[in-house]
Amino acid sequence: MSRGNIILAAFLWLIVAFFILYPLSILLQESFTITGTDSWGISNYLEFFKDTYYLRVLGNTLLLSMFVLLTTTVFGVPLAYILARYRHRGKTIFTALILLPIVLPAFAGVFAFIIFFGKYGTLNLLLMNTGLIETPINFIYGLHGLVFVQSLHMLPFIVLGLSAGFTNIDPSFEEAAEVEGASGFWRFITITLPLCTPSYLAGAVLVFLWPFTDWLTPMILGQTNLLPSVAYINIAYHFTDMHRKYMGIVAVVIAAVFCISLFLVARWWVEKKKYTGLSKGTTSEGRVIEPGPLLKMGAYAYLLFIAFIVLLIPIVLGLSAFSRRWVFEPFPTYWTLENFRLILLESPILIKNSFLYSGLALVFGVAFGLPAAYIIARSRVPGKDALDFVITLMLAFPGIAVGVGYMLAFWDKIPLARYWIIMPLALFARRLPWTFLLRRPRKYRARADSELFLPYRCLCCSRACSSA
Amino acid sequence: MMFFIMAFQEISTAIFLYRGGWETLPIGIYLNWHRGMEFGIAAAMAFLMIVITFILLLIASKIGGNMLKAAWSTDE
Repeated sequence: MSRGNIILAAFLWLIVAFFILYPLSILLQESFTITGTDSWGISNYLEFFKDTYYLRVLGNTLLLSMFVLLTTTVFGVPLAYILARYRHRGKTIFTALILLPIVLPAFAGVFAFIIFFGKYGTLNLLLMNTGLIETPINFIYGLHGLVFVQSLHMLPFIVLGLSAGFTNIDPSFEEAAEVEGASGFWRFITITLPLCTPSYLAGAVLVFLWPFTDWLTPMILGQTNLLPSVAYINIAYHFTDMHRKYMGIVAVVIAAVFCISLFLVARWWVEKKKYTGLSKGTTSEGRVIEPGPLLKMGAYAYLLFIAFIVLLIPIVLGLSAFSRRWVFEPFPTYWTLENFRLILLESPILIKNSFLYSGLALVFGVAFGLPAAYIIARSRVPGKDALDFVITLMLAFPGIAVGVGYMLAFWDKIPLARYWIIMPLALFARRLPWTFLLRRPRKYRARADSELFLPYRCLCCSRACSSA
Repeated sequence: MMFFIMAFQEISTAIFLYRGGWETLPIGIYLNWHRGMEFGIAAAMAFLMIVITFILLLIASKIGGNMLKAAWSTDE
């Protein structure tokens, strides 16, 4: 252990303390502040948990989370299975398409689906033109639309985790079950799925937490009685009403605490499973099945269906971007470059800012990520695990909490927020765990290490075999 | 690369901090939607973001193998 390493670690800790711990502590402190006074107390929290409105909001958010998790699971399991196990053409292109929502901004999907599924959107108009329906069907505005949009956005997380799980299962377990007589669907339910539980859970946590983070999609779809949206509205629109602002901050803190605890529980569970593992005996490709013709057709149809929905996002947005006054018509009729001209003419600064801030955030990220990776992986500096822990925790942290924390912390005492540099700094802090991808690429990618679910094999197989 | 794309799309943090002249593309999209005037411009901006993301991924895949690898691995 050299002195240089200690200095480096101390420097990294300083950055973490200043850009993460400090703003978050201010956020926490503000949530305890009693309106109109300087004193602290838990009255805000008491009010939150007594008020039926806030309780209903909390309940709604939990309900939405469950729906989203259910939907992604129901659609994700067959999807992951097809992608991981079936030998078919165009595997790469389908995988790429299905993972696409991750690299698309969440709000892009909402806009596209509003145009396509909205009250007078393409689908409704087409249905009405053909005379199938009289009045437009409400496809998108409401809880069901929200579940749809958020599920599509989070589907890749489930699929990534599960397909890695399906690929990495030791084929001998399934073969053993086959020999013992457990076949087809039964084998899948009793052996394959349980073996994948940890890799599924890793993705499922992120999916479940998404409704606690995403405030914009609900707002666009007119569903404002959800925790992050309520927090956003309280803070952003009611800065004159101090009490509502504090209640908003309380909502942010509650969402953040919920996210972090759930994340930690899941992490603990997966880690616990990990340490009882056996040796690894998988082939690189895993078990690949040649499906029958009927099954193959079904699989293709299913893949095409999902791919179609995903592709709707860029296609619809593209149509909308190149057209003008596209309303009450299923497809645009008037093509123009006017929109782009307006963007380039009036607000090229947006594009410049986006690149500048993200670029700077990336520079910060690399400047922080490389030494941090070195310290954590190669040195024995005391407290390096705590550093790792704090950074990983940011993965589950709602962006809205980071934003509000920064707004509160860097205004009065440390007036950093008065300069534009706050933007890249905030982006950097928000995406801190992603800089860690530099270190252990596999672990944070869908968190689907093969060793995560090794232990489950023995147990489940013996159970399944005996039951078969 | 993934980090850049993620930062590029970030809105929930940025929305609290931006002031006049600091807007990014996501904020521009949000403001355009919020004012309720020009849906087309918001859509065009979102489309522009998608295109930029794709170009970034393409560049990354030229350097580091195929598209999927570019999106998911980060050993730059």
